[in-house]
Amino acid sequence: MKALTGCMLLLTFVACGEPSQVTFGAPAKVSKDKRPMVWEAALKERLGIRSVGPTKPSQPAATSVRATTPEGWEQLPANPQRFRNAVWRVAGDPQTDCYLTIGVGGGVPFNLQRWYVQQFGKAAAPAVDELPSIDFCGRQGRLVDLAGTMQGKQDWAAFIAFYSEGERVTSLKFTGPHPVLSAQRDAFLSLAASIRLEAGGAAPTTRSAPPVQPGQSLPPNHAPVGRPAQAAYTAAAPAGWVAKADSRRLLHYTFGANSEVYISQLGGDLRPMLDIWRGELQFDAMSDADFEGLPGAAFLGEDAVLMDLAGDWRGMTGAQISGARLVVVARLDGDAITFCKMVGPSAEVSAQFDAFVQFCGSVRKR
Amino acid sequence: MTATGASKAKKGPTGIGGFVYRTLGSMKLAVTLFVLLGLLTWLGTLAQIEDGLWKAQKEYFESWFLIADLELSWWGQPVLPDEDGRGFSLRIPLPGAYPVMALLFLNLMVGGMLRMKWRMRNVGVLVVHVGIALLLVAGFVKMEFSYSGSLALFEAPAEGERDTSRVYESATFVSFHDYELALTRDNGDSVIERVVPESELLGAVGGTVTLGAEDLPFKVQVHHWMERCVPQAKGPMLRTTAPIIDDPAGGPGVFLRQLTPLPERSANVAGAYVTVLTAAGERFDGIVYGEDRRPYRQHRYPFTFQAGGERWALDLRRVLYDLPFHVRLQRFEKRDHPGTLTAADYRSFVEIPEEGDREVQIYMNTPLRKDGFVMYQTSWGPQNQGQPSGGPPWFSVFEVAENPSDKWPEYACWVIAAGLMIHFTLKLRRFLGSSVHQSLAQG
Amino acid sequence: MIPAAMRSLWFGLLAVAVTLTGCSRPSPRLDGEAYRTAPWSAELVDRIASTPVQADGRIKPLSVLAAFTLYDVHGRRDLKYSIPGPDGVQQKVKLEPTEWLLDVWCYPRQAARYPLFRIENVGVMDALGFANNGQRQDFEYLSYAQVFEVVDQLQELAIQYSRIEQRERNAVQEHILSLWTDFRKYDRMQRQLGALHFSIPVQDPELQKVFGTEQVDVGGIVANADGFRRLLKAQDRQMRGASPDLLELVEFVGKAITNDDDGAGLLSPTTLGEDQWMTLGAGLELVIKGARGPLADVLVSLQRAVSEDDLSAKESALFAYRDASVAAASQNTNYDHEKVELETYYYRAAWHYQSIHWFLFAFVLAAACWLAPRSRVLWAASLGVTVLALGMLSYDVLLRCLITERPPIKNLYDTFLFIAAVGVLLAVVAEIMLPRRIALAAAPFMGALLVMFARMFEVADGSDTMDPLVAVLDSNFWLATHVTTINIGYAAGLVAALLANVWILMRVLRIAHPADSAAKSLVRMVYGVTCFGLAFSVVGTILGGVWANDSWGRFWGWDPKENGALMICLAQVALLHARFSGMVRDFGFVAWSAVTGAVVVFSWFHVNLLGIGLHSYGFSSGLRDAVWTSYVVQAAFVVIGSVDVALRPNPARAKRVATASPAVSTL
Repeated sequence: MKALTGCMLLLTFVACGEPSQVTFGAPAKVSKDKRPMVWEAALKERLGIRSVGPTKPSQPAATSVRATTPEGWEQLPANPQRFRNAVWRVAGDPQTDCYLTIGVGGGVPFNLQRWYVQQFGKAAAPAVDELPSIDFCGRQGRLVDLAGTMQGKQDWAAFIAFYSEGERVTSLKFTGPHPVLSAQRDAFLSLAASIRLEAGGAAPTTRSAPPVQPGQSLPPNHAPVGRPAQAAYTAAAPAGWVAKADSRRLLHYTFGANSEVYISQLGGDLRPMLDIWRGELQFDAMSDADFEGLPGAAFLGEDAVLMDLAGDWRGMTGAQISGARLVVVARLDGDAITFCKMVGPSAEVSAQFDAFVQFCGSVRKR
Repeated sequence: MTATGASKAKKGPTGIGGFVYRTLGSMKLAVTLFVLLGLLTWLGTLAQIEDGLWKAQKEYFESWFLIADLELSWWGQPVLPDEDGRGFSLRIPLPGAYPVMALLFLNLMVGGMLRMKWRMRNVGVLVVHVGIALLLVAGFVKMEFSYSGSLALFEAPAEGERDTSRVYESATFVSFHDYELALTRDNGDSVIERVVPESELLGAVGGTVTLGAEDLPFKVQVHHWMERCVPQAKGPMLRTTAPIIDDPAGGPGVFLRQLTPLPERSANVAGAYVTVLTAAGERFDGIVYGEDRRPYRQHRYPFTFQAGGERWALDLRRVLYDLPFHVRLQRFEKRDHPGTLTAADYRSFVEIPEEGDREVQIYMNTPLRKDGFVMYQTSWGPQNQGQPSGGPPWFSVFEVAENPSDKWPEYACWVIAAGLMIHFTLKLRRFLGSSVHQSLAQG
Repeated sequence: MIPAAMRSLWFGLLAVAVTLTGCSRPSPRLDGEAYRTAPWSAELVDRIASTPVQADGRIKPLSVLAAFTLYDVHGRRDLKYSIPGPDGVQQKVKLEPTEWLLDVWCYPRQAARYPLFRIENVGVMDALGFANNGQRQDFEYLSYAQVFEVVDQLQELAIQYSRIEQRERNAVQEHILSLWTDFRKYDRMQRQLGALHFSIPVQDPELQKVFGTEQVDVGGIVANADGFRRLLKAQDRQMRGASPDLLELVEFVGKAITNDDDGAGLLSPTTLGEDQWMTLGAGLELVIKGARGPLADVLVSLQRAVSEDDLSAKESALFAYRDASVAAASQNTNYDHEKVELETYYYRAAWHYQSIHWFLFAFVLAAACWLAPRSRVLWAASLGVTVLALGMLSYDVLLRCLITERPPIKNLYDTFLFIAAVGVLLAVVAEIMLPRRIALAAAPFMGALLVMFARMFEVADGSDTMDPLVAVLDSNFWLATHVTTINIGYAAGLVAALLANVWILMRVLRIAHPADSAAKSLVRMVYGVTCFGLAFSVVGTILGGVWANDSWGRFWGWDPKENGALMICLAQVALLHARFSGMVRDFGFVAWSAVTGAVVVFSWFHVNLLGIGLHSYGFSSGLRDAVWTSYVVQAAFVVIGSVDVALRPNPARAKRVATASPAVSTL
């Protein structure tokens, strides 16, 4: 009885509790120290939009980098969209490549891991403290000195000068045949020492750090969660594709000797997922320009992005195909990515490319 | 001990008042309320599986009335499952915990103290009832007057090496769940702040809430409120029904993409669109987004505009509470059990500048109590890594709570323990000395 | 008539015993030859048990590591198979965990064929492509070698299923995931000494000179570490000009160093103050860098244990390994060998296991008491044996406290032993106060049942029950107060429920009339135990709040475990108030007590199965059956009792009953 009365009272309160205009609370004076604010932030900086940005370069080009090009070297046009804020090489030697990258994320251990383990196949990366100190960009930097097989190139070597500010690493990377690099070591060190970054916008500290929240500890979008949708999909499968029995995918076909096409759903955001697939072919993460430049395709009766990659493929489950081609059409539906992925030996996949695009266009939710 | 005690208590005022008095103080009401509360607790526990703690708590334990949803299961499997695999559900109308607890308190006062015979043999029960009353009062005080939130700080490096964007020291903390919309006027070296709580903005979910004040040269419309969303650039492949805000810096416009709210409410980041209509007839459209980037960013990034010759900012933020002192994180330490990634111990070494450079340790089970506030070690970051030399520094996450009844339950605990001890000891002595015992023991 | 009821009870118990023993089945055969020709000597198994290793964050005896690994991957306390004997007849072989571990390390090719991974779901066999050989049993064992054949498929499925939320997975998916985990666990253990099974042939004379042999293995590298190091130092950084043999050897060493880096720590640290133990690979690296002493001895003796052909030579190498390992560890100030020995003794003596037998014996004596009610001797004997068994159980709990340096309860496993001990004690006290021979039987029954559950849980859970605590639990003060108090409350709730069920049983079977003094005494006991329980439940629950207030910043958070404790308090307090106000009479009172028992079960471990909340650190899926069985049994008692009350609200007091047998009149 009592509860009922209380409930009715509450209902009455709620019913007449929606006024047409709300008055702001009483003004209070607070010191600016207690309310730190950025008044003049750009829209996207303000909202923490990092990934899908405009196609214009996020770093001013070579103008903000001052350096003395060593004798016998030449400077090439910069390509900030590819994180090459300044580019040099040993004059006339296309095998050598030296470029400056300002403030990429990931932190030092991650980048060391990338250089040592991924690129040079070393067992482990050393700790930062073990690396020799050098003069770089007018401050103390560290030097990485690597030699061996670099991504299939034998007797290759790399010098990398770097320093970090928080998670942001600025580096000068010089790669080429080992004997050439050994001879150019001093030139490289003098270049590294001569570089100055102008405060004109290239200062890495002003770039927004990843907005990690307390407690948000899982690697973003890495482990897809959520169950696959219950709804089945229909599609017109091209001739020669065989539906795979007992598959857990939404739709699953095989063709040729070792190729498959399947539709599945994963939780997470689109771009990180695309980057994970890129990683299966040892591609680095996309730049903003790469992402913006992805071609479109029809999928599920709507727009989707298409990514087409070729290389040595190593799937998450450990399966491997050398000389593979991977084509994926994906779109974001609410919180989930629905995608259609074709992977197999390059020749087989290439022969089916058009059929695949047509197939994606025919897929519908039942 | 059975019916005699109850029948003796039947004296007292007569008439309707007497009836209410007797009913309120009756033991049958007590039993009914215990069973109801037990039922609520059980159903509220099961509801957490599907709904998460926050929602279940609101529905079952912070409500006046509810219709409980009991999903039947057998051996851990749903009974008569539907398409989503959810079992057949019973819908049970129940009073919420508010009326049950309130009635229980009245019942305790009337039946358990006023109507009770104040005799030696009841002294234990009376003491227990006092303790329970204290516990209920503590709960009420906590519910009405306590608030809590989180505070995250990075380890402070040496003076010259600090990153100005990071939070190393703070005298404010933020609510876990609740938002507020703050209107701020630039006032030179200070700001003038006016706040509207989230509860006043609920109408903006499907409609528009207009905000204003007599002395303001504009009105603010809040619309398209989303409980969980993410701002996104309008790429060629993205479709949306939400308004697009043009980026004056060029490139694609920006919109808020609505996401399905998570059961863990503190993980949802809310956002909304705001439209400012000035008296001069100007119109500004923008997005306010409630993401808290601390401790990586100490600054807020509000939506700003000019009106009446002054600079204004609108910020949707987690409710901000001020502390009467500053806290600075000097060092964070984490020790794992050897050979594992399980933390054996983690603790923060903080300094309170107002107290000179006294260092205080905050760690598990040992909070810092100061000026009515309690600060607990809850978490740390970045997670999933040890601290390699040269790796990123640690930040530490604290919960901060202000609770006037902080210590009351502890006192209640001792009172109740003492009361129960007295009561049951007396009872046992009486029983062992009684003829009933003699006859039963000998068969 | 009444002895008949008694007899039916006896037959019931017998039937359970027959069912339990009757489900044994022939041991699976071991295909192929056995490499180990004779059993490990008892002396070795006994001595090597106390070899210290570091796993899951603490130092423990090797035998404990072996046991919990076997429990986890095999789901049993021993491993059985059969093998043709010299006469061609199948011989049964039973391996204890330590023997099994020695086989995995020293005879990996034999161990790989042991019937190890238990598959209880035909769907799993199908998913992995194993032919359904018309198995009639409801489970099947697969060997490591068999699973290895399909490991790619297993891994792919496991990765897929791990993406499904736990609550959404079906039985096959769960099973595949746990098989994958078990497989990797075994694999990890096997790889611990994996590098010792290889040797590198060298033709380079310089290498032959350094190692004095043409086949170099890890032991050889360790024994000639100085020469090897000099050889390496003579090379330039890119190893240009190194002989192919040396390059191969260096590659082999690199693999040996990293091969086992996820394994348990076998080698004590050599630097003072360091508390992380090393794997074999890490130790090898240290020796190559110049470490000497017991560390090298451990490695060399392990190498011999692996590469010697002869069993007795292997055994002597293993003895040497054990002694070198203890010697190496003893140089470290953080190491306490006494404690490792104590833990080895703890598991060898297994006092809680012994107590089961004595509890059962006491129960038989108590049952005999019913047949000869006037016998004070039988009564005293039953009580005495119960107390003896309680002593053993308490000593067991005490040893656990000494080993872990913690109060009695740290995890879910501990609660079984503790609640058993407290429950038995309560029932014994009740029997002494009201000697009706009911609590006399209930005490050992409860003791035996809970300790048996504990043992089942230990194997089903498969994780070391003495592993270190997560940070929030690291408080001996709160473990000793809140956790102990609340579990005393659980114990009392269970004893009350057990006695309440006896009351219902007696009424339904007409063993006693509700007005009989036996039934009245039972109600008194239930009442007393409930009062006792309420005091501890309430204080324990509030203490829990006070602890939570200091660790999580709130007194009460409606966390499932907190809610469970509150529900027990509410059930008990409602019961007492209902009784006091006359809302319930005897049957209502005992039925309510019985239901309170189910509430205790819910709070004790069902909430841990819900997979939510801050307290779910004791998760185990194997508990689900036990929980539901207890609910069903409890519900059956209450329902049958209610039906009985509805049909016969006032049973006539049969004179026969009162006079036919003296046993009944006292009951």
